Amino acid sequence: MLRRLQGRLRRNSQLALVYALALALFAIASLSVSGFGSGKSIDNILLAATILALAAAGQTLVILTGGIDLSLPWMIAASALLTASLTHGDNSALPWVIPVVLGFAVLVGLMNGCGITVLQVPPIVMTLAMNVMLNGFVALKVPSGADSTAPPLIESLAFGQILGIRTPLLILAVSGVVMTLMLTFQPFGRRLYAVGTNERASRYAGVNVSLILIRAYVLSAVFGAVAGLVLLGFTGQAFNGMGDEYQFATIAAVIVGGASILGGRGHYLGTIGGAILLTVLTSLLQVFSLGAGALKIFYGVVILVSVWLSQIDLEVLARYWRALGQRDVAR
Amino acid sequence: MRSVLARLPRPRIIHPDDFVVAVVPYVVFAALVVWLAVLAPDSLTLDQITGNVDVTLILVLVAIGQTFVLLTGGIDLSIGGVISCVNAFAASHMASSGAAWGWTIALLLIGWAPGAINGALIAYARLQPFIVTLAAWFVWGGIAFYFLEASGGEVSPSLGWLASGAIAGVHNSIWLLLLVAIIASWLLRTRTGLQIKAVGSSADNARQRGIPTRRTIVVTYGLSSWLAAFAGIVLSAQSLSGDPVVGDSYILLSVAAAVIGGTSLFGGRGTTTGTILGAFVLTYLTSIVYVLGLPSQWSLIFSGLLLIGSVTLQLVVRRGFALRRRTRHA
Repeated sequence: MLRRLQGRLRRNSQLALVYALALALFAIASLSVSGFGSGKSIDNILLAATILALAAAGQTLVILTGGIDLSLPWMIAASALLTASLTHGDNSALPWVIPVVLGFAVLVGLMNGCGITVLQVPPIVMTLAMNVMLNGFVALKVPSGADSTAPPLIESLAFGQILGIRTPLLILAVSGVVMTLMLTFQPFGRRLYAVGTNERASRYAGVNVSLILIRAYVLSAVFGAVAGLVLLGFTGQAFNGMGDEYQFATIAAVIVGGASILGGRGHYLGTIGGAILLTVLTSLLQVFSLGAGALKIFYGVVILVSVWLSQIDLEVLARYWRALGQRDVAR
Repeated sequence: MRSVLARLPRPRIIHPDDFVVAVVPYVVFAALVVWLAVLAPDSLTLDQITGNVDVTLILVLVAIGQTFVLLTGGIDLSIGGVISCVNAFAASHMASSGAAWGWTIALLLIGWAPGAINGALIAYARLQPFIVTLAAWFVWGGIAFYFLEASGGEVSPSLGWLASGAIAGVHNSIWLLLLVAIIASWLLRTRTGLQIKAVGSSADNARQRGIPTRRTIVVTYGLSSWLAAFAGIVLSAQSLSGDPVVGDSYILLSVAAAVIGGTSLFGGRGTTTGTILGAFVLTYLTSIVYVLGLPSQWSLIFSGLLLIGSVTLQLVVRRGFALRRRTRHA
């Protein structure tokens, strides 16, 4: 039993490390910055982390396949802008608006997935093009004078409570459970890892690679749309470019959460940890009133350093260490 | 040791399979010019053409850098950040004439540095091009905010000569376009150009044949960021103001121009002349959308579709040729 636990701990050490780092950073920050540990501040951090974790859920799936989704910023913005303008800030239209928005997300995901699998456009180029096309589409459908206030029900997605638990936390918990079940216990999850590890081998093993990829991109767009709804509730107003920050943040959260940018390695639980860690860090940056520039630089450095660290060949390092030790002995 | 390539006969720049792909940008460009001329006959006047060259020049510069990077099989997303950074710097530090020209020369001297860092991380630390340049995009885009927090600022009007002046009666942007077209086309035929294509065709083969693959990659990314810095200066000279996120839209456009011009996203194949045509295709597309009276956002959607269509066309054509060859030899 103990040995099994040890093994599990060792395998998930990076996962534990992310949460430990987030917790440690938060503890240090709340001790040194007054008000950082207050209930309101924790609330805000959790809310921001939830939105980021939701947006990064689909990105996790896509990065696990070895791809990347750069169309998330405008998927998030599209979902928020369309919802605000179609409902005119009123609850009564929500029953048909939300299905329409989610359906639109499915369509976007299908186009991404089909472009990548059928037309064989590399994921970066396909999703980057999709981001720009979504920008164009939304600007056409939602002119600048359109309604941009969030309906009250959407606002309660961000600020409401169900059974005494904040709704965003509930949404995060549900998405965490669903994603974990999907990744760990569903055939889809297994195949996702297989495709990310070795696409050709999984094709020979009978995996329908195209279908897996398309499903990953569809889920990515849908999670983006859901994140857009919660974000709309959080900001109360939809505006152009409201998703832009998530271009950097989602990728950073996934990679900090221990996923390999090459695909095949990582988990959504890590991404949630990465989202919390990044949100704590960014709120610290905001405490020191460093602007948008610092945030961008920070995300860039975080991505680069974590990819670099994850790709340093541990085997080679270990051999090098051993060789050093033997030389000392010989001497 | 001299590279083996130096002793080989002059190689063909366009692979025979690529003939169809290479012709397409000419056909599309000609079709768009004719279409626009039918819709708006005054589009053929020298003024209008000069205006189109003005608009396209920045994209041409960036897209040529992108073409060289795509030829190595990589992609350069950092140009968006570099352009923004140069533009923001120009709008905050180049208000006087002396400063403008001094800094312009300084920026042109160090413009290769961001790319060289990318190239070194890709070639020596063996990181993926897209993740390195993605991170560099964020970093340089972030630094841009330190120079200029929101759009505004001013650039000395004397720098404007670079974009709107004339030498010997011909507009400067036309001179710059010709210069860039000739140098890029020549560069592709030099040993460096061939090495770049060789690395993109097969890095292992290139290394075995004595090509310094790592140095080639560093040089290529350096060239790309130098061209992006130059584009940033031309952009500042045209707008005479700054915007800290102005470069972001050029990332996709540069890839689109290269691919529409016949450059493969998988390395080894492409021409700079095709890329220049690809850039003009995008400009003329925007003009046609404008003349047709459609909302300008349609040009974003059309350029994305054109990019995806071009990738697919290349795939179909190349696969078709490969299939025919296989059946012929069978």
